[in-house]
Amino acid sequence: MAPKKPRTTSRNPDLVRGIGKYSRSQMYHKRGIWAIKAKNGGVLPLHDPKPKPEAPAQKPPKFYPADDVKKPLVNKHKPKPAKLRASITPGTVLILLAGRFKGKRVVFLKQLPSGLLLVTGPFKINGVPLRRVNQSYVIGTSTKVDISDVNVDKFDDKYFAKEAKKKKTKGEGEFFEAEKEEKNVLPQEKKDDQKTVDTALLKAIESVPELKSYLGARFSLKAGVKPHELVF
Amino acid sequence: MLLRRKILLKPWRMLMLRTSGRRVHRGRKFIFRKRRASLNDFDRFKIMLAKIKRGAVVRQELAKLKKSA
Repeated sequence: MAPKKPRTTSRNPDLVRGIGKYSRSQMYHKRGIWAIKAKNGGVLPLHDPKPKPEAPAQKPPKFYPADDVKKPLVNKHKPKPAKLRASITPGTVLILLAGRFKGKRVVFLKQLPSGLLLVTGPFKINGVPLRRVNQSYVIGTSTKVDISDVNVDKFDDKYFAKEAKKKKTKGEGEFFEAEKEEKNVLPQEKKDDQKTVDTALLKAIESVPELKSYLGARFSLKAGVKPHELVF
Repeated sequence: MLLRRKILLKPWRMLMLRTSGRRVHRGRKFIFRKRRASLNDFDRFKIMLAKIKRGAVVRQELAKLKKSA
């Protein structure tokens, strides 16, 4: 009768390490190998041996490279999108602090997947087009504009990506000609987009007295004013 | 026993805010400063516009007076 639970220790304990208490022939009888053989026609049944892995087609080279090849560590890190500041919500008036439009006041529309802020002046009021700005270069004010009628679904980071320039193959004739700078022409599609957003936004802005001229003015500090004490 | 200025100022300010300190010049100054500090960017802009408008009106009246004199 087979044991009810699998055996945990050997049936042949060690006297000294490597030397069992019972000899090979004694274990032959203890394990009942003779009986199993008798039942199976005098042969002890065994599993089929595993098929050998295929020998390599080519003979391995005699030498291997001595220099260690550096393998870069696996880096699966994916940065999370930047957390939006509490003072910045859709419709908030922001003051830009750096770049081409520093000092301008703009309206925040939404946060793009890259974490950058989508803002516009609007263009008609102060010349700031639809553009992306990092949160670090912005002061959030407490003034809000109602942008419920403004649709900004079509704008994403791809919309603002720069078009890749095609490299020209310089011919012999062109070698002596000076580089003709092609001026970047804004496509009509983007102009139309700007107009669409501006129209909806201006409606909301003009309904608040003085807000239009406020957005058109530049932010500045007078002598003696301490910006860290100002309330925005 | 001498009291420090800082210790004296605090109850004085409270007094100015609550009572007839509003009529005293120094008290009014304190009140205005406190109010101005709480304005936001848009409010400050509106004040600027109001001052510009007031200046324009004053200049107009002055010009009229000069002309009639």
